[in-house]
Amino acid sequence: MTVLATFTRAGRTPRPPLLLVVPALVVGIGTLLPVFYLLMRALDADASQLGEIVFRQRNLFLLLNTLKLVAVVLTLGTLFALPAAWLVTRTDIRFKGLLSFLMALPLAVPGYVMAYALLGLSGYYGFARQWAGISLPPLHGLWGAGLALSLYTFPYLFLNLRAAFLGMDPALEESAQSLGKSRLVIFRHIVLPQLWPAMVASWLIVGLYVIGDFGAIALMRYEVFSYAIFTQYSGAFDRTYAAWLSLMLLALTVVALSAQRAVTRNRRFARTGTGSARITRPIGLGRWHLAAWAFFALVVLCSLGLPLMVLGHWMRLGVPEADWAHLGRTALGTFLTAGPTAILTMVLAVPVVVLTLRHPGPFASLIERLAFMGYATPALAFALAMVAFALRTAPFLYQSYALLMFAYVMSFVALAFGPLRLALLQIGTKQEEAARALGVSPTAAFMRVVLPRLRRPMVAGSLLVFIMVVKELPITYLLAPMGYSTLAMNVFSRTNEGMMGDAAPLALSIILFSSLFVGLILKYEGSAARAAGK
Amino acid sequence: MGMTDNNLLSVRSLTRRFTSSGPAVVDDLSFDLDAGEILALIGPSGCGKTTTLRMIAGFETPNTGRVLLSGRDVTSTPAEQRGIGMVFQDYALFPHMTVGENIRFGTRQKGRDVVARYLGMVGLEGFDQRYPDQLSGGQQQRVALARSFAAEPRLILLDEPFSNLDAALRSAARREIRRLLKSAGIAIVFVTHDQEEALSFADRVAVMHAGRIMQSGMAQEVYDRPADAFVATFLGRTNLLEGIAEGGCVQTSLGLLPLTHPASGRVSISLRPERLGIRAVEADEQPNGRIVAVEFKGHDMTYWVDCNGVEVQVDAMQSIRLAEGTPVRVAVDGEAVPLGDSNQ
Repeated sequence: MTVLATFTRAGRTPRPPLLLVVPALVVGIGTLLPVFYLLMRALDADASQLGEIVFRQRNLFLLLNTLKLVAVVLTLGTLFALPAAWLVTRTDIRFKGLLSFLMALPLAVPGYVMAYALLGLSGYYGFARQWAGISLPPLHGLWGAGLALSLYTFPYLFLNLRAAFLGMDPALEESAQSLGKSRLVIFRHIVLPQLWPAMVASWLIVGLYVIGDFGAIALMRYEVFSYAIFTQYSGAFDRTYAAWLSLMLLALTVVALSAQRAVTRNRRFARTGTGSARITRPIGLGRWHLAAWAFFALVVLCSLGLPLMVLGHWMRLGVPEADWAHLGRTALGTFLTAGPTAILTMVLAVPVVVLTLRHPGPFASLIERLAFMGYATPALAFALAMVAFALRTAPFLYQSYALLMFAYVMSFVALAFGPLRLALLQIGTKQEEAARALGVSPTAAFMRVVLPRLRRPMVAGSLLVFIMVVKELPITYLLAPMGYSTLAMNVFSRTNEGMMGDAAPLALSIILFSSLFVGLILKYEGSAARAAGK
Repeated sequence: MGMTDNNLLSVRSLTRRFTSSGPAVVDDLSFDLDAGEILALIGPSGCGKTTTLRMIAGFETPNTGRVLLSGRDVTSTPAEQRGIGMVFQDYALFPHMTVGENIRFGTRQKGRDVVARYLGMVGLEGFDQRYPDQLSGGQQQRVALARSFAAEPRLILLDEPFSNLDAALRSAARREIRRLLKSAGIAIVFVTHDQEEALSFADRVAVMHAGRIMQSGMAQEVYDRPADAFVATFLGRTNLLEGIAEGGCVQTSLGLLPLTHPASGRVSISLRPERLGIRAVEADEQPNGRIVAVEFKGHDMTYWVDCNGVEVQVDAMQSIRLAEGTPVRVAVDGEAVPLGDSNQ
């Protein structure tokens, strides 16, 4: 009996219950809406134009640029995240809690703030030259965008890899050691293969984020699909070409999803064990302590120091009368939208993940892929699709909170899959079966035996969604109800108008606001196995 | 063991394939169980015994065949409505609930003393506030049993119930749990690959191989009269010999032996090692074998003896101690069992 088989039969009938199918259908249809919209737009093109649009030389150029950017971001991100995750889980370095927090904190920095920071640092007018007299080459284009993106996306990699390290059975490493293998060999042959599924899953999340991101890329003026899509929409108004570009981007997503499956096939369940509660004997760093701390200092300086420095610089140039009442109102409004969105996302994510694990099949994997596609759809296209959908079918929904939250949920639901999936795999199906043998229905068994143990990944996942909503821009811009504005909208509009001093306190409050939740994520993420209810 | 409706559990022609074209994991399996009876399904790993258990519990749907509980067809009844308890190999206690909460989970009984009563039954008074990870393996097993008892099933299924216990604990746990089950009058089907466990715990054993029951019956009966070579070798150690039978006797390399039941022509026979006697030859005696290996096992010994080119194992008590190479006389003290075809 394979492990897969034991996960697929929790003693359920082969047909998944409606309680799982309905939420899955909502996710599937919600994430398909933008695709429909894009297809309709794309088919507006004359048949004669079609070939010219699809095979335009520029498309290839955009594709190559996008791939280059993804490669740079994933490489840099892994170089930050992998050593950091290893250091805080396997060595005797001190202040592990603080270091983990600092490594996760850049999640709170909005992309455009990071990009501004890098731009402000470098170049002839950059403050690196003003303050230190060093004239850094202007950081824009591929390296600027790549650096900016990796500096605030690497925490995803870090969090996933850290959880993977913590979930690994130290006995495997110890037995390899007892067989006389060196640390390096053990890392390559024992640790890395076990990290692989977590690594690929987080590469996927970050990679999809990168190809859909717009803020940092626009500021860095690096031409990739999402940037081209935006300029087509805003400047050229060639919505047909923009739709084609968006569809190509979605095709890229599908390729990435299939690649992930191919790469992690048969390894998906590599970490099904509950691991060991035993703490590994930490590796003494000895004289490498200094190097480790230098590494952390560098990462923290770049990912947190830089943006804070830039904000400080702007504020020094003159903080206008801070409108605290306005700031408070905006923060509260943001909170009131992001909170319910995060909860709603979980309500939909849990059934979808249960469906993919307990009723695997074409339907489940289609829904899962669609959810990832929703995540990767350029936010701008997503928002426009929602506008078009609302105006055509239900005008009263346009600029309503309901539609705004629906759009958020559909574009972020995939973010919650990873932690939930890992936790469900670790919990297994035996306890549900035991509950059913005691006379409890499948739904009640799940609610009473599994759900309480999903609390931690659910909280961690919803916090992640919460932070994403707080930082989100394009969807908020297009779908916000009249009079509603978020912190992110305020920051972006002010920086756009060059009112840096005005923007700084708002940006700072986003970072502080989100950092609170990053701290909570760290508290709650990690294995469900340890949530033994005590 | 008639096929009447009086049986608590009847399994009829159960078949399960995991792929439509693949081989059957469980192949046309039928058996009956009386109220309060303990049945062991024993077989090597992969023989389909756990799948059978899961089909009875309702966690697995058979491709064909029926499961009847007191004559009622429950084949399509969901697991939770069958009233069949199940104790898993790793116990599947709910880690986020206390022992007391675990026990209360499946019971419909009200009252404060429910938990205490069932904990008392398994000898764990006062453990209700503990969490499962604060218990030893043996204690976890007893909590899992208490949890199952509290749901008041008439039948409990046990999946490899003793495999997670220390060897030292196992035999004591077996005796204690058997006493418990017998006094509660609960019927048991349990699966195991350990012949000692099957023989000592069960009233009746069913030996499975490749999805089929090869033989079933009272433990002693199956041990004493195995139907074929597979059963004979799986349930205990044995000597398989070839011989020519005629009526109640068979001619073998050990001489003319009596048979448990008549046979004729070329047959395979099974002769348990404890049914053979061994002694050193006396001065004027002709040996019929020579010891080639000795295994000292504490309270008894096993000798491997070369008898005219055929190697046989002989179990002997401590009273005789013979060295390797000793010429000996091997005598048969009992009847040989003629074996049928295993069709494997």
